[in-house]
Amino acid sequence: MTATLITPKISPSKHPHADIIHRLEAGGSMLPDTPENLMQIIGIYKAYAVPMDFYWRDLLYIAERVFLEPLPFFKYFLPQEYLDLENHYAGDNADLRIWRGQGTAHPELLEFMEKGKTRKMPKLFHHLWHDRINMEFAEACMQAMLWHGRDMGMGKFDAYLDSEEYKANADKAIKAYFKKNPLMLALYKLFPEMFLEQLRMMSYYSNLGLFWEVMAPVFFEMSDIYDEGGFKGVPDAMNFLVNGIFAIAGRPIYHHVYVGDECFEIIPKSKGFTWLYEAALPYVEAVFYRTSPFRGTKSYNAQAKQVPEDQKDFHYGILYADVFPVGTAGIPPTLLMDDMYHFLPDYLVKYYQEHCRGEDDVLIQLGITFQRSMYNVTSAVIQALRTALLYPLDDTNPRHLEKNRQFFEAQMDRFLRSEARLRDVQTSDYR
Amino acid sequence: MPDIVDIAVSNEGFSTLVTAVKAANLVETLKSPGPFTVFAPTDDAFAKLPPGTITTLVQNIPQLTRILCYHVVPGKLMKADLEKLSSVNSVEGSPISLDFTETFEVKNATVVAADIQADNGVIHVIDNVILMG
Repeated sequence: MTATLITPKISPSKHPHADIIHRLEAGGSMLPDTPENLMQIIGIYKAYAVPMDFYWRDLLYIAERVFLEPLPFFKYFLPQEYLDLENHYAGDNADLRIWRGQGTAHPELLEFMEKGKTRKMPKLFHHLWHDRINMEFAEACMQAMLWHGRDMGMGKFDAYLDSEEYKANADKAIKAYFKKNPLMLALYKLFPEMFLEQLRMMSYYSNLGLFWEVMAPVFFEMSDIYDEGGFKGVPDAMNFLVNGIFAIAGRPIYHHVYVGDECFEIIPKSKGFTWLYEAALPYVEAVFYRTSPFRGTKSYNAQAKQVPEDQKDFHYGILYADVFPVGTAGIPPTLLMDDMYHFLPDYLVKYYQEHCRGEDDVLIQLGITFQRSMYNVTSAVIQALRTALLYPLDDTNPRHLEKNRQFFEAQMDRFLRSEARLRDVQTSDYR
Repeated sequence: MPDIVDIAVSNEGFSTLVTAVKAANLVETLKSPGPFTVFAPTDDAFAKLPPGTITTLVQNIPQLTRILCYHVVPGKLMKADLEKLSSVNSVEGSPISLDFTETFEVKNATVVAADIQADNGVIHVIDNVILMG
């Protein structure tokens, strides 16, 4: 698609973000189509995909194997079995091959896990020195999905966690898992809801792991296409994401737990839960838009209504983030920035060295690049929803175009609040 | 009178739908007394979906079944019955919005042939695959 796709058949929008609405209506992205933006977002997708290759594997490992371990000290110590796990969307044995590369763990990830940013030493030392992939970021995303899941009412996943069927499946798995641990079984009898809530969290570990299992090869493939000169602009990159969303929309979302060799289907694939409805859309809403204020970054006065009363009005996601104060030790997005820093492509390293304070504020610079890239991913989600639920951009019926317009305007309403970074990413000097 | 499946099989332009219904093991259900109202997407409608969409669904039968069930409504609802409603609930559980402002529209699909009577219900042919949401 190009920016000259349609001749307008309806009057111009009067929305404060009308320029962006018109760009979306012409098949564009919320992010302006410049070579600099394209270079930044593809570079950061690649840097994101490598730690993501760890995140999804470890999320599934925790959901499937660590499970209710009362003292999960070693949950970030990914066993070889999970590093060798074939991604369903990469490699020769893929169900649908999105990335032309390998299905097992990415070589750059394996190299980093071995040496870190220090040197080769036993895993435990890397862990204690925090010279590792920051799984705490992935867990923060999972917690955002768990916490907002109740309120969002999206898909059927969260409602299923309250069903009698889920509780019965959970009961079998809990009893099998603790069959040699009478203390935990006694605690389960006394406080069943506490265990169930832990299990719901485990189900979200699985949900997010299955979601990211798809996104990692999508981003790797985008990086490879860009390196081959395949994307002509930001809309190309967005449309690759739109097609990817559709291609994988029907991927099952489930939660299996393994106790020894026995598999317990806590959420079976047969429930029909899908990647798009039960994982991707709730993820975007909970993580890109909502999340929650990060402890220690800023003081909020609840009486002055600086924290919204309704969860739906939470606006602490990447699309609203002020990256500068967020860039503080221990804060989830900072952990992600640190993870991505290890895997930046050379062209992005060089780019950051030439701007602002070079190496000194590279985490902030790459955080803002990440923000740009997520405005592009959100654009892809918006365009995918428009494709799925509304009308083609070149529809000849003005009534249909008006419905598309209403949809785009409703989406842009979410960026009217002052914290939104939509206007900032329109300029190249926001870094 | 032929049933819903017989009509789809014997008419051109529904081969993707028939293949999907067979893969999802819905043949027996759609041959049962019902009655059902089926919004049947044409082959061209399926072809509009981006590449890979159908491949993934055919690999995952429960998920395919869910999407197909979104195209089925319990009861026999002719166009005249639907005109009195703004939405109907699908077998999948999610609502399907209806619009008669200009023509007969089901969500973002236009009905290209309405009221095809079957022994166990009625078929309305649509030009887009409709999706929940």
